[in-house]
Amino acid sequence: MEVGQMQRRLLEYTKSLFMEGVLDNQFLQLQQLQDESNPDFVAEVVSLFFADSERLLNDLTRALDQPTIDFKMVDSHVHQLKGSSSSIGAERIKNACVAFRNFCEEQNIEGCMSCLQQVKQEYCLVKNKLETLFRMEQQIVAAGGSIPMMELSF
Amino acid sequence: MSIGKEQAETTSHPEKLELEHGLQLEFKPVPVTNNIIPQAEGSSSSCPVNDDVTGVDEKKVLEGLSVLLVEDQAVLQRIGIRMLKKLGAGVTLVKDGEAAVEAMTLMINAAGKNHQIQNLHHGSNLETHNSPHYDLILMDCQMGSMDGCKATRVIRRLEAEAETGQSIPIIAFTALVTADNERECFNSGMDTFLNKPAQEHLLAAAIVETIARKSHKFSCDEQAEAQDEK
Repeated sequence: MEVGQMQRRLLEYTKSLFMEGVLDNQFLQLQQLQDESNPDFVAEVVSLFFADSERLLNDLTRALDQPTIDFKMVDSHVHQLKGSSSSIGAERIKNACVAFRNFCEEQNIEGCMSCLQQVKQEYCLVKNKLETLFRMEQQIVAAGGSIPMMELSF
Repeated sequence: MSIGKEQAETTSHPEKLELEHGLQLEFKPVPVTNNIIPQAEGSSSSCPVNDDVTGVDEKKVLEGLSVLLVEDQAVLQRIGIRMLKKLGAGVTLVKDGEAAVEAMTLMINAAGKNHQIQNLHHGSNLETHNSPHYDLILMDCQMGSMDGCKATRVIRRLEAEAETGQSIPIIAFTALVTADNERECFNSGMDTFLNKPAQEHLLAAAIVETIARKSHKFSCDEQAEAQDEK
């Protein structure tokens, strides 16, 4: 596949992630923060996000597995996950966290368990999609091309 | 003042996406001006992070400002630092409310000593080297044992006790956008309430506006005091 085709494929793929609500405008903010002096910024932040999220999801699984659930702690973990997911533009994870927090407030165990599953699913989806995106970028760069950016217009 | 609650919308137009604040997302390749293309074999694709290497970046509206960023989450720290540096600010990161209070204690004490010395020497312009100075605090609200509101209350108390008249601008930078949280932030002594995550231009605007508002108030208060003394 030649570089131009790869670039078009990447743009189409990125567009689909926005259309499906997997990513939102905040992801573009991250891309705007990447430049010559910070060429791997997006990948670095997303890696941090993956590590952080996996830790939080493990903590949440453990917290909801206790005989007596500390809803305040569960809520604190979900709040952190909501914060980091919204900061990278992972809209669906963020929305799942909003629902999760509501169940925490109601101290609804079943609701929380169901939300945890939902959040895990959304996380896996975003992880796969972003890993695919980065792989496509790497292929373009390896072929001597550059990553096309999307334009934000007012 | 409160800034920014974001909602995303989509349109059915295949090439354009309507986003918040009247932004439109257009899917088209942009002529590459600032992407690194790794050179020949053996080179790493990442460069040492050096935020002091500035390219053609005219948007350094926070140039010369020193911001104390109080944030406990790694992802948000990384983004916050980068965004502030891109806007030209100097950034000091602390990871919780206690550390923020510690940092401000140093600054307030240094300012207090300077104030006393200046009073003794009737306005001599002494510089205190190596004392930390911040122009603004960007304060996360929900953190560990000492949250943003608690830290702010302590800082305001320390400032009042130092009697230098200083009051550092503090922006609540939070994802918890509720009326209760906003009220608590203002009651604790914060000056602005900013929704996280913030777009670059909104963050810049909030910082510039808060500093301007505080310094205007400060000079008005000074003038009022001067009038009272006459």
